Amino acid sequence: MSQELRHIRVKVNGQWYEADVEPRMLLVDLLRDVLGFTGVHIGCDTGHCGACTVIMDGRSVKSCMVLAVQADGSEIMTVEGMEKDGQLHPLQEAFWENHALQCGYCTPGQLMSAYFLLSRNPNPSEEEIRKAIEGNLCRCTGYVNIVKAIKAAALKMSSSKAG
Amino acid sequence: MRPAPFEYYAPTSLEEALRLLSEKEGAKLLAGGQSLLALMKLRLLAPTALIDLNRIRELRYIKEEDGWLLIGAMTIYDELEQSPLIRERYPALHEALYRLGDQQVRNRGTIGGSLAHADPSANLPPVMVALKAQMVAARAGGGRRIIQADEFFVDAFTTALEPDKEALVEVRLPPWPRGSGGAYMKLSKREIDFSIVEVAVQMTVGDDGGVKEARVVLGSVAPKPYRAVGAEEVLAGAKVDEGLAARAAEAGTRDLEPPSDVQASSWYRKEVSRVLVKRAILKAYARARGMEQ
Repeated sequence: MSQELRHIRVKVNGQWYEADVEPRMLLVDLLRDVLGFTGVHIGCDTGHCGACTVIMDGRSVKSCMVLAVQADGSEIMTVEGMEKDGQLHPLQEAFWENHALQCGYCTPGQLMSAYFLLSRNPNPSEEEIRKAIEGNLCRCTGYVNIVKAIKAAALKMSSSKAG
Repeated sequence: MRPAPFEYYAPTSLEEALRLLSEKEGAKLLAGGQSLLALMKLRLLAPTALIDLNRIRELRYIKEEDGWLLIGAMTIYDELEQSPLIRERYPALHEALYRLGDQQVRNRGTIGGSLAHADPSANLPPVMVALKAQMVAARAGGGRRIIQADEFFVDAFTTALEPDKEALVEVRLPPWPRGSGGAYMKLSKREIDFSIVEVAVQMTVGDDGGVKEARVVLGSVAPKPYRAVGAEEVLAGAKVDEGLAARAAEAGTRDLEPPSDVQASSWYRKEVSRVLVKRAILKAYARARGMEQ
């Protein structure tokens, strides 16, 4: 079956992009292969590992479980969009400071899930943090330092807001 | 992994979606996509066309009407899980949602998608049967009918919806009277995994402590939600304590012949069923009597 291309527009990390895509193209492939956001990782490609997590219209989603055409008109944030003016996001700094990664493969997805959590719960408990990242598998360091980092970032972000 | 090619439609109204469904042979409705896209990537399914329901705003709502809770089929799990109304009135549903997929799945997956998919080990089908939910099916031209949850699930991955004609558009939860409570429990490898055994219990208890009505429904033990009628009969009129709950669980699971698979043997599933039914009865009873949240 020949595939009719669909013209779509997506706003990624604050900038609009246009592309012609097959309906079967996955959002993760649009982001990586067409638009060059290779910080979005492909881990399992079956919806289990969370490495491809991005923020789509304010919510964390696995970009391997969304079609690119479904993102037409949407706003997307990837790990590349976290840094502002050469300054790492507090979550990124906290991951660094707390050794919350070893190989780094799951990290962009972990950061996106943490970002979504803090966007609606600025002061999460340890249980809430663990619940929030249950869709993101880490196979090297374990989760202790990731949880610690998210907690540290939450503290930093709320104190800087208060100040 | 990429799905096989398909035509893609993204209607903005329900009527348009239903018309496409009736016209396009081999088409499938796409809800949250957290099951369908996975199956298409594995090439277990290759629909000729997808009719994406995500741009149909009229299918996404939680509202009250005459004591009923009406939920649009495209309402995502996360919105339901966050709803204080559901947490207070339908604790079994809240617990099932809390343990349904990870946050990314809850941000995308929909109640209608899950129920129409009718996976035998999904969280929501047994809860719907326990709560006596009604499913509203719609077809092109405005035709609608209500299907009771008891009749909605026909077999594994098979519902009473007419293929290529009907879509599930609304889930209606009836009001349960004062003195009602429910509980949902499951055994799974991780908290959020598909269940090995799951049970939903909903009951109403009178002022004297006697059970007026009880619904005990198991999942993952049969191709469709399994009403543990034996348990319901033991509960009827009874005051519940440990011994009574154990007898009800025994009666309710005696005739079970659960499947064996890589996760658990039939014998194990049956044993766990008995244990979970007992625990869920005790919890639902305590909640119905206002003794536990």
